[in-house]
Amino acid sequence: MLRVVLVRRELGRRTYAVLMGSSAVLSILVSIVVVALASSMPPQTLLFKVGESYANLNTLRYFSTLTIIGLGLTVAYSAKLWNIGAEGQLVVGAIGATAVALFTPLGHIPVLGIVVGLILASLLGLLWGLAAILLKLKLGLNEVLVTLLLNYIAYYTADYLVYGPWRGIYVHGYPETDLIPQESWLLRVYGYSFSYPVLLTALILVVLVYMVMKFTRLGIAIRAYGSNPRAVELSGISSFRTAVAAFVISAALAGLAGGFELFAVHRKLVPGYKIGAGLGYISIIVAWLSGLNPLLVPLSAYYVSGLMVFRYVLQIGTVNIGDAFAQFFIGIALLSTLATSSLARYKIKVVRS
Amino acid sequence: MEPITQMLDNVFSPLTLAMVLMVLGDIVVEHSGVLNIGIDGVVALSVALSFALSLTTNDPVLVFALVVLAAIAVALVVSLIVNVFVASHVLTGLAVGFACYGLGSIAALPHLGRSAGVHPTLHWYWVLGVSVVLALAVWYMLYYTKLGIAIRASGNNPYAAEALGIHVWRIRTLALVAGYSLIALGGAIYELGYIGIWSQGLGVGRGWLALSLAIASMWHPLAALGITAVYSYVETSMWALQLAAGIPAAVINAMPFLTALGIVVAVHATPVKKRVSPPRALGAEYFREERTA
Repeated sequence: MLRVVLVRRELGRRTYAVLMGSSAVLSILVSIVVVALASSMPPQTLLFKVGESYANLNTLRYFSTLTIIGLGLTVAYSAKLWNIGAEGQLVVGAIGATAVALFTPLGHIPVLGIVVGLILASLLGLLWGLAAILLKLKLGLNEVLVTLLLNYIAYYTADYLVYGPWRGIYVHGYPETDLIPQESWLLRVYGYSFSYPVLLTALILVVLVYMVMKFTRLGIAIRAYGSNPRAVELSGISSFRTAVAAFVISAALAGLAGGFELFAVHRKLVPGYKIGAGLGYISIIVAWLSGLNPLLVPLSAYYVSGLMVFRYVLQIGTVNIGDAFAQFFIGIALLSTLATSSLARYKIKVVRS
Repeated sequence: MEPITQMLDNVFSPLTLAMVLMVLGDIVVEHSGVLNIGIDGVVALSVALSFALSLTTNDPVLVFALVVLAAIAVALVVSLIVNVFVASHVLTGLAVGFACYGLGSIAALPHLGRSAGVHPTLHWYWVLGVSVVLALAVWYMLYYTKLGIAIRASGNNPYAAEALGIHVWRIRTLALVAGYSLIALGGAIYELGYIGIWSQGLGVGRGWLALSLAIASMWHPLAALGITAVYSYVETSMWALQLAAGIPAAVINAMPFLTALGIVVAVHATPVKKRVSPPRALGAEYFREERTA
């Protein structure tokens, strides 16, 4: 009888890159065809609009945030630790930043207030992640489920604050805090929604994370932990500490991104789902599209950011269908990446049994 | 008689039935070892689709049938990627989830602003009866039938299950199809029996809620019935609670997630873990050709 089996294989780096690149381009083309069929817009108009979105500098606003979070996640995922709680870690980060800017005198001191706010944001993100990894290592809880639950607990913490004790005086009853003092604003580039400090931090972090993962003892231990925690232990490095480090790095960077979102984009605390806005989940996709290579994270972040901007372009009559199509795009892009990377890892063989 | 019926209608509202269906569906899927991250997308899709279909066809049976068919299609995609391509359950779930959010909105957006065309009236006895019978059926199926034992074996140790002659991928596909059908029915009842209108993003987060209720009941169908019924009652009387006791909505919303976290931690920190534990291979990638290695 004939049987189909999968056999593991290793592809060359170049072949792999070509394969993944063409899968990314192909999924955009497939999505355009689907949108064209569903919306009766001509495909060439859509193609033009997609190109326009990628050329739009507003992509940099999403690019910065997604790069920062995505970089952190590559660290955790390299250790095969499933932090899917970036969304919640981002939200608690934003809460921390608000606390500094709005409720301490530091909020009125330029630069220092922002720096302290960002440190607190990272710290809160870190603690939110620390809880999850300790529960996994000490009690054996599944970190996917714990981080998922913590996301919603973070959402509702922010909701509690903006509907309750932190609700602003000048907000006409809207569930949000007052604006933070102008001294704590990270200025956006005039006419655009991105800000240089955030962009610069993201680019510095790319190099930093790459160096740490490639050249330091910790980075190598983290990558080794991903393939075999026991081997890490046998080489004299604490596997417990390695796992905790990998996880909290990812959580702290998500918290930092939350701080940046607050100082540069929102400038006030809003309900949880509005701060998170799914960026934490989309960053998971960014991390995996990069193949967990820190140097490729900017590329995959850019790929996704273009789609995020495309959302606003796509409007039919008075109905904005952009969100729906962007979500569909992102889903299809990740699905085709998953299928392609499987085909790269496994050879399909027909055998006689 | 009138006030009593009204009270019972409040306690066993269509929301209860919808949530019970979603939670039971999730339990069936996860007992087979497939980590059900796609649940939120499936719920959002079935909510949007049932709304759109109720306005294009007026036949309730057809609406429910088509929504279930769509969910089965999604289940087959998940099964293909998880079982055949041996990809990560989390990523597959996320990707499918995103695609489903998008597809659902695309289907429902043209009808934005209208109210659903089908309104099944679900009296308390229907809600109570169907919920109890379904929970008992799922419980009996999982623990007392050959199929259920095969499902749980695939979820606890797929390698051992395969060695005993169980086709793990077949069992997991079956569990996905059955589970997603239940989840989709839940989504449709949530929309048509409880909400009645649609706006973008409706139903997003409902799936995670069902997942957290399944965790809180430690994946046991009968515990799930109790916990879900209590939670749904609290949710429907949220505004009353807020007025009467001054409990903020955010606290009530966070409750299922906090409870789920508390219960999993408590179970894992105490010897109870030996008796009730989550499916041990939940979310583990299973590569069949390595089963002897």
